[in-house]
Amino acid sequence: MSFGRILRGVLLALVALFFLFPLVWVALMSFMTNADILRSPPSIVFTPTLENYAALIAGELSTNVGALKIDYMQNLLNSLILSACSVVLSLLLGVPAAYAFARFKFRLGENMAFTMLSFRFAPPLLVLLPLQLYFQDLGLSDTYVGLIWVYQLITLPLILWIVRGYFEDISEDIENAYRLDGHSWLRTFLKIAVPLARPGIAAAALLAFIFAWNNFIFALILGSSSIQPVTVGALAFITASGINYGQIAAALVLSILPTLALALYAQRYLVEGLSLGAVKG
Amino acid sequence: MAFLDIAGIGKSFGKAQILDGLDLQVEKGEFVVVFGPSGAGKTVLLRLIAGILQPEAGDIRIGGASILGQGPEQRDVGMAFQNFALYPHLPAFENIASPLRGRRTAEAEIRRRVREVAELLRIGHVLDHLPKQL
Repeated sequence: MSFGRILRGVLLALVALFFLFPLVWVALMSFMTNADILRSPPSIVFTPTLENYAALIAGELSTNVGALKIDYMQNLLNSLILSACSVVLSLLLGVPAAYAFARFKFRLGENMAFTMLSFRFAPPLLVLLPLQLYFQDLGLSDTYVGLIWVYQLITLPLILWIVRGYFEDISEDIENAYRLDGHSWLRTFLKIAVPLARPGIAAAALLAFIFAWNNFIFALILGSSSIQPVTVGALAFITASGINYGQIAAALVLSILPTLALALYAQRYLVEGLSLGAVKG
Repeated sequence: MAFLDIAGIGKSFGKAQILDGLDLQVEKGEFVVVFGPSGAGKTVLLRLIAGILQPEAGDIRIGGASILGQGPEQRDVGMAFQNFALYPHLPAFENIASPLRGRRTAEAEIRRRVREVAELLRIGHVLDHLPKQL
């Protein structure tokens, strides 16, 4: 092994350590008591405890002035429901729309696509007040359906624009050849276009899931505690009598897990895309 | 009347008129070679017959009936593309079987005919490979 390779390995390890350090530290903190965490100087030698996780699962936040009830597991479930349903709905609406924008040139097509994109960079606070008023009138306030609908502002443009690019990269002749084989356009879309764009769809879905998962402001204003996700639920850890860092760390670790699992699962589709060449010759 | 009858067909892209009032008659079993410089409209003509493009003027008839309103899958027309247009995510077997599946051929018949073609081309041993692995 040459010196260059060793040096590169060491440098990469240092970069990885630098970027992963906060995560590793949070993971370590989740197994510490508050006393261990606040010890000065900090030490990585401590007696691990599962107390923080047990408190979260039991829904009891222990503070200096006694136990406080929190619904963190419900928040976690809410996050899962809101993010997963939003992404699935966006995929159902966004993938066919992306295909239409990629393949067919129609009047005002570009304007429509750009309008969808503009939802991404419009500040949420701009629409929150009118949304809140409308939602109360429509009875959508404080419902999963209402929040999933609003989450489309985050997930749909993302999926539409990423997947559109992937569809545009697929040679039209592959689809034409399939149609000449005697298959309908719908079958061509499902059997040729969608499988070939799968890496893009996986990437877009993963990104949309993360954005939906991280959303804070929509759920804070439009939902009550029964449907609020982890991002809002985490506010409950800041209490009048202090902050229990160990439990916050445990909550963080738990809230990272679903996204991490999804990223690992989606990875094989992302890699698959690199190994498929579209047109031979 | 010829089997394939193209009458006064016209096609333009923007301001460029590619085909203008083209007539062509082809009998069944007849071989016809269309040649011309790049950009003359050879591929456009084939795509119009296949139904991938729609003409702005004229008519295309196969066996006496106009096929203009039909999609590519309804015309029973075959076409070999310049860039092969293989399905990169499907194994060789499915690539060959696709037109038979499109015409709803029975599974046993599909197997028999794909095998037959594969033997002829001596690719019987790689039918489960993807195009890029061939």
